[in-house]
Amino acid sequence: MTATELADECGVFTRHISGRPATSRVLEQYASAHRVLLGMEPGDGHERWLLRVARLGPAACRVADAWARLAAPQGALRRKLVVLLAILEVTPPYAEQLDQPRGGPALEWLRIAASGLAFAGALAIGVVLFLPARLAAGPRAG
Amino acid sequence: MSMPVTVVGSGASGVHFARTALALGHRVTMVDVGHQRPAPVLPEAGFIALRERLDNPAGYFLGTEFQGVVAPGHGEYYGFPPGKDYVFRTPAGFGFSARGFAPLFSFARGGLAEAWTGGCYPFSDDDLQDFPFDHAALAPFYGEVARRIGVTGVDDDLTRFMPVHDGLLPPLELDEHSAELLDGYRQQRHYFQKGLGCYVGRTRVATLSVPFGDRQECTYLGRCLWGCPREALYTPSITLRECLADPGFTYLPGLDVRHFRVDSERRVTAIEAVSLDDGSLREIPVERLVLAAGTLQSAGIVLRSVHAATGQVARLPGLMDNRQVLVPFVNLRRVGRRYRADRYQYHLVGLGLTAADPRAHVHGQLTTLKTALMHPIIQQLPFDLRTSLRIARAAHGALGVVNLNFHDTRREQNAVTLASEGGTLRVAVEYAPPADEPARLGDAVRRLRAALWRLGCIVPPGMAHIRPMGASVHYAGTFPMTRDPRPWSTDSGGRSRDFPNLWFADGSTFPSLPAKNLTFTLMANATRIAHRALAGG
Repeated sequence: MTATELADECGVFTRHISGRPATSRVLEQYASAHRVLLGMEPGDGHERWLLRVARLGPAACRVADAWARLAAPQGALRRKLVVLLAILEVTPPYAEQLDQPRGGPALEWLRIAASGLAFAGALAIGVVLFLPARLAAGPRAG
Repeated sequence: MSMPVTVVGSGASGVHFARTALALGHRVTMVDVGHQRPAPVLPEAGFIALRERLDNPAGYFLGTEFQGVVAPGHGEYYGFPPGKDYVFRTPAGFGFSARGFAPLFSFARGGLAEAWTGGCYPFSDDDLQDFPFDHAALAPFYGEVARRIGVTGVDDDLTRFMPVHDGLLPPLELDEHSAELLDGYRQQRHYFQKGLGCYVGRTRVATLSVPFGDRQECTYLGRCLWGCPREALYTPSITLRECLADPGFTYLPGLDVRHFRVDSERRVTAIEAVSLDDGSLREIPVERLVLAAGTLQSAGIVLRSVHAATGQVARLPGLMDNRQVLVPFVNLRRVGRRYRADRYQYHLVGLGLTAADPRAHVHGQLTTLKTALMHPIIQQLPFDLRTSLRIARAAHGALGVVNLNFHDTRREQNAVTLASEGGTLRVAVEYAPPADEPARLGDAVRRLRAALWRLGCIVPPGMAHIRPMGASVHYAGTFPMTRDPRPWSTDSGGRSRDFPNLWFADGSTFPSLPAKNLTFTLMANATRIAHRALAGG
């Protein structure tokens, strides 16, 4: 991947996770992580397809992520997203946004319910989009 | 009369043996690899301020190699803080082989307990049934160590599992979540004790609630997980520093002890160590040798010594370790409530689960999550990360993890030996859990789930994590203290029955392993052994 492609990917993934654009510090850390960590490249055609869709935008990324959580939880997409989440949770200004609830208990329960519904929708779309590719890729090794 | 003693290793056992020997007026030479802790960063800053003020927060919290990131599939709920990498850094060329066991080694000043969470749990008479002495024989040394290191705690319902000793300091302040859980237990104490065989109380920890000597008390910076910058949490390197101030103490760092030499009467005459500076072999004469390098490394030194002298590869059976199970929970009553980062971050509440055989009780440490990194938990929720993050944010102040510890016994098939790898003899570990382990683990987790449910908490399905053997780093049992003489054993004073001027001061001598952190007992037992070994001049 070129540096520009990696930065674009980081920007989309950051908006998927946090709803905000990536700062230069996050872009830099994301690129550093790709230089030193293993398993950040797709292992098969299914993972490549997942990544291609995820890079289209935050909504598509949510669909790919929802599917990957079930079908490829240790694949390249999830690894990239988890590494980015780790970076965001220790990096201002994302850290403050990610680590405390923003409303009272009632509001938070409502948000959880809404997020759950959004996940169900994303997963449903993900099944339609990715299941055929997954079946075509055949059984996974390991 | 002052006697010269050579101690190998600066961990919890080594420094307390040395400190005792120095106090008795003897001369101590300590040989150690001695990797050092880096200086604390912004030592007065609290967790939030630290995160904001650091130029590179990801580098500090995750590491420049991102080694603090818990990757998918790892299963752990804590990333290891990069600031403690020095604890597990190994010398060049170091290696081992292992089957059924994931051992951790330390070559740091202060050893493995530089990365401990401070739990101080004296062994009871039930725990000591296989030892050649009872609790009364060990009790004065718990007090002696407590007066050195500072242990906070109270006499409560957990005293039935861990006797009270002299020198207890007032307990640390509870965070809000821990206080609510403890209150919930007190309101339902009868059900917990009679219905579940579950007792809950305060953990005892080597973290100062009040100033203690020249050390400062905990000011709740919220940085425990990354290494207390105030040294309120005790680590053995503090005692090493005290030893270094004693004129009778000589510290030889940068030396990796490989083996010792013996004379025709099997008396140890010298140790041979590799210099980490230039790889040269250095011979150090000894009169009395004390191995305190940790169970696996002490075993390695003896095994290599036997091989060097006889060409034989010995096998040391009886290796033990505590199986640990991590059980995360969500306190439904706290979802949506904020938490305070400026609280103590390790366990403040503990629990004990009774068993028909009192030696098989289960000990748990309950940690409410505050400033711990959340990505290890978030990624395990069964949703996309955006959804998981929203749930985790709402539930952050409601999350906790119970770390269950299970006892272990010496069994023949679990052993330390040497194996050839590329022409080099390396320590080889083999371990298999007992046949009844799944049933014991299942029963304990079931009872814990029931207890947590009564406190308003749920354990998300599928998230209890059985840690691999070796992960608890509570290794013991290769040279057990026994009443009857036998090869590869020690007497009740830790003195080898194979080499008359050799003592073991570490976990090697434990004939059984109760379900609790052994570090405080390592310190107390090393102190006891020093008194015994050096009594009378």
